[in-house]
This record gives sequence, structure tokens and C-alpha cells, in this order.
Amino acid sequence: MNQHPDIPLDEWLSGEGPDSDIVYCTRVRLARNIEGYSFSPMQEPPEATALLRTIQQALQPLAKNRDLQWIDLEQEDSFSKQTLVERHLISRELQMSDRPRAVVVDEKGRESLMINEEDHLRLQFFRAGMQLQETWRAADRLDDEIADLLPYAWSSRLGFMTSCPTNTGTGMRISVMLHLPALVITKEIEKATTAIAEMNMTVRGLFGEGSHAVGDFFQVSNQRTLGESEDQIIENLGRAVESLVHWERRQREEFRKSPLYIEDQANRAYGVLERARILSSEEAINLLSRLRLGRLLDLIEEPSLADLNRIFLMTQPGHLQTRSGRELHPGERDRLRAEWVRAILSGGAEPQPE
Amino acid sequence: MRCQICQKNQAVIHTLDLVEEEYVSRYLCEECARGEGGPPEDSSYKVIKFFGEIMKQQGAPAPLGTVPSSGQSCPGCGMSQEQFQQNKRLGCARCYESFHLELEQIFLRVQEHVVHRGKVPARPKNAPPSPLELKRLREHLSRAIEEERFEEAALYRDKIVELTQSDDDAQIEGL
Ligand SMILES: [Zn+2]
Ligand SMILES: [Zn+2]
Repeated sequence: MNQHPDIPLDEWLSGEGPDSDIVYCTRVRLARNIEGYSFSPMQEPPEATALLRTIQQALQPLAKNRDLQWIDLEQEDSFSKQTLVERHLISRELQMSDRPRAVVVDEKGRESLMINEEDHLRLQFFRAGMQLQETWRAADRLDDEIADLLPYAWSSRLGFMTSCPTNTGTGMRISVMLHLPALVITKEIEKATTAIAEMNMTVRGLFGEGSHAVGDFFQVSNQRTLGESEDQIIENLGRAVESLVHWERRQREEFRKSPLYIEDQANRAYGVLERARILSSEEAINLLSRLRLGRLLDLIEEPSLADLNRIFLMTQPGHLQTRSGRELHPGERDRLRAEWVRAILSGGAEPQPE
Repeated sequence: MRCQICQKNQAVIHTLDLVEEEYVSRYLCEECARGEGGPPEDSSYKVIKFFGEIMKQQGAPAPLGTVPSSGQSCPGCGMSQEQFQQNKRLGCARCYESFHLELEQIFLRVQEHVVHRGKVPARPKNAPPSPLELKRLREHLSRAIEEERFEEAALYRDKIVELTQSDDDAQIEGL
């Protein structure tokens, strides 16, 4: 029986797209505020509610050509909010905030519009792999449509006025999520990070807290939002990412010449994932990272990249809890995570919650 | 706010006139401020930046040539200077004016630039003109008048008229 558990997998998480051996996805985020309202963190609840209604009303025409869903976050339970965070459709700040707030999501899970986060509007666009131009153009287009419906707080000298001065100007943060296991194993990553920082880009771990990166995943983003056009920012980020991709590929080629270490790592990872009865999130991410590298270098035949991506998403706490329909203690989560991993790897039945 | 001479046009210029050792403050339209052939040659006659709403709320005009910034709260959202310095967050779009001196330092530090070079968004039809954009145009207008660049001033004036007229139209439509 080869029945895969039915996990909603957002299109951009498919593991396809340009340079997908290294680049997971591209994200563009635009911060926008509506004229005449205090910025969200300064709002009293009545103003926040009024703004929410104004936005909901004004954005009606957007739904004409798009399949959009308005989710009032005050009405959602904590699992569903956690799941939205893990799908990257809302931020932790929006999840935790006690303001009236909402999110608009498209049916493919590639676009979201957070309302009343730190700024009134945060447009987020995701695309699989390395797609800076495409992602920006899609975001730019929706931004234009919104600008026809709502007056943005904007000045010709400072551009888009945002709640935090680190976003003023373009209000744009463009990020690329990268898998750089070869740079981590060879400890080249520190040199690489320093080089990227010198290009005025920020590098941080995608998982884990602060500087402690888990699982060889990194996010590279532009630091500046003022004084450079969107096109310039994208060009500079593109250059930074290309150099990282090139660097990682070179290290991977070295491993291809003498593959024993990676072959060992990937097979060990596979063995543990297939057999473990307790798996923490951190351990799972680390093992999946090494297994993915082995798979990409053809040093191990299984599992498929699609399965690897499915495991990634499924082993996150919110997805586990939503599937179980209740809150889980960390111990229960680690047990259930191991069950899910075994089920996906063996193509077996979906674990049943007790 | 209406011009204090003709009582008709919108005031775009704030003048301070030294009369018997006291400044007399007047809000004027561009035409009246220019009078016949521009501001009087009298060196005591100054045109300063116009802060429309901000000035109105704070009552007294600011001292010559300075900007009402430091030590005051934002008239838009009430954020105080201390709050801003503590959080480094803005409370509303007008905070950008209220704390502009401090902000410039922040921009120089974190952005290394102080001027936007990116996207220019459209504005919805019937939306009132952006108050900050109007303010900027008025600043340019008064500077142009001050420096007797009248052709340039006329361009700013036309732009302001264009923006504020569509505002009136929108209000009439809304009635
Ligand atoms: Zn007049
Ligand atoms: Zn303010």
C-alpha cells in the first residue's frame, strides 16, 4: 500500500524551481501603511477594528481575479495559528499579538497579506527556488492594485513610511532560503557569512534561535531599504546569493570526488529517521539536512525530495498538533514526529492520534 | 487654513514680519505673500517653512528657521520624544516629521542613506491628497519664493492646486 498521508503542501515548498538543489525558496515582503491611521502598534482596539474593516471593504475588488481567503485571526484557535506560522503565511508577531488582526491568503499558499502586524499591511510572496525577479514582479503587481484602492502613507523624500525606521523607503525585504550543508561541514560558512555581510546583506539561520543555526539552512536578506531602488536591491541580493550557491556547489563537487563521509552521514541519518521512536524537531532537521545532501549527490537512492520536504513540514509542532486535533506535550510531539517520519518513509498509513 | 489677507486661497506660506521688535506671524497664500513682484526687500521679512496642522495645534509659531521637533510629542499620535528614543519605532506617519532630526541620525546609521529612490505608488482616485506630500510641495514652494525662483514656484503652486482641487471634488462627491 503506497498511500501517502494527505498533507497540504504549499506549492512553493514543492522543492522544485531554479537552483532548487540549494535554494529552497524566494520571499518578498512589502511593508505598507494606510494614510490617516496610527501605525498598528500604537493603535487602541477601536482604531484597529476600524482599520481592519476599512481594509476588508477596500480590498474586495482583489478577490475578483484571485482565489483569496480572509482569515480573522481573533476567531482562529491556537493550532491553526501555529500552522499558519509554520507555513510562513503569518509571522510569530502576528500570531502572538492581541490586536484585532487578519490575514488574507491565496489558495496556493504562495501569497499572504498580513493585516495589523507591525505595519498595517505586509504583503508576502513566496516562490520555489531562486526567483528574485518573478517574486518581486508578482508582489509589485498586487501592491499596485492595492495602491489603487487604499492611500498608502508615502512621501517622495522617504518613500513608504513604516513603523520601524529599518523598513522605511521601499519597505521591501527580499529573502532567499538556502540549504548550505557542504559549507557547514567544511566550516567555510563563517567566511561566507562575513563576505555576505560586507555586501550589506544579512545572513541568519532559518531554524533555531539567534545565531545558533539548526540544520544547515540559512536566510539571506537585504539590510537596507532606503536609498536604493527595488531593482538595485534585487540585483545586489542576486549577486550575493549567486556567490553562495557557487561556493556551496564547489564544496559539493569536492565531496563527489571523495564521497565516503557524506555517504556515511546520509545513510546514518536515514537509519535513524527510519528507526527512531523519539525525534526532537532539532534532531529531525539536522538529520533531514544530511540525508538531503546525500540524496542530491546520488549517494543514497531514497527517499524522494518531495518526501523529504513533506517530512520537513509535517514534523513541525503546529502541523503535528493540527493533525492530532489537540495540544501535545513536547514528549508526545517527539514520539508522534518519529511516527510520522516512519510512516512517510515507508509509504505506510498515517499515524492515528490516541 | 485660509490666507489671512485675501481670506480666499489656501494659506501655503508662513511669514514672520519684524514689527517694532516683535515678530508678527501670518499665514498667507502664495499670491498674497508674493504681493506685487515678490516679498518686500526688507531684510526683516522672512518666509519660513509652513507646518500647517502642526503649527495650528501647537499654537505659537516656531522660532525663525527652526523646526518644531525636539522635546515635543507627535501631534498625530501623541508619541513622546522619550517613547520614540526608547523604542526607535514610529507611531504614525507624522512621527516622521515630529522626530525628523533623530530619524536622520538613525537613517544615516542603519541605512547609510536618507532619501528614497524606489517605487512611487499610485493613489486611489478620490483619495484626499497626501498631507505629507502637500507639506513637501509647500516647503519647496516657499523656498522657491524665498529665493525668488518664481517660475519654479509656479510649478509647485500648480501641483498643489491640482492636488487640493481634486480633494475638494472628492469632498463634494462625498456629500
Ligand atoms: Zn491670499
Ligand atoms: Zn506620530
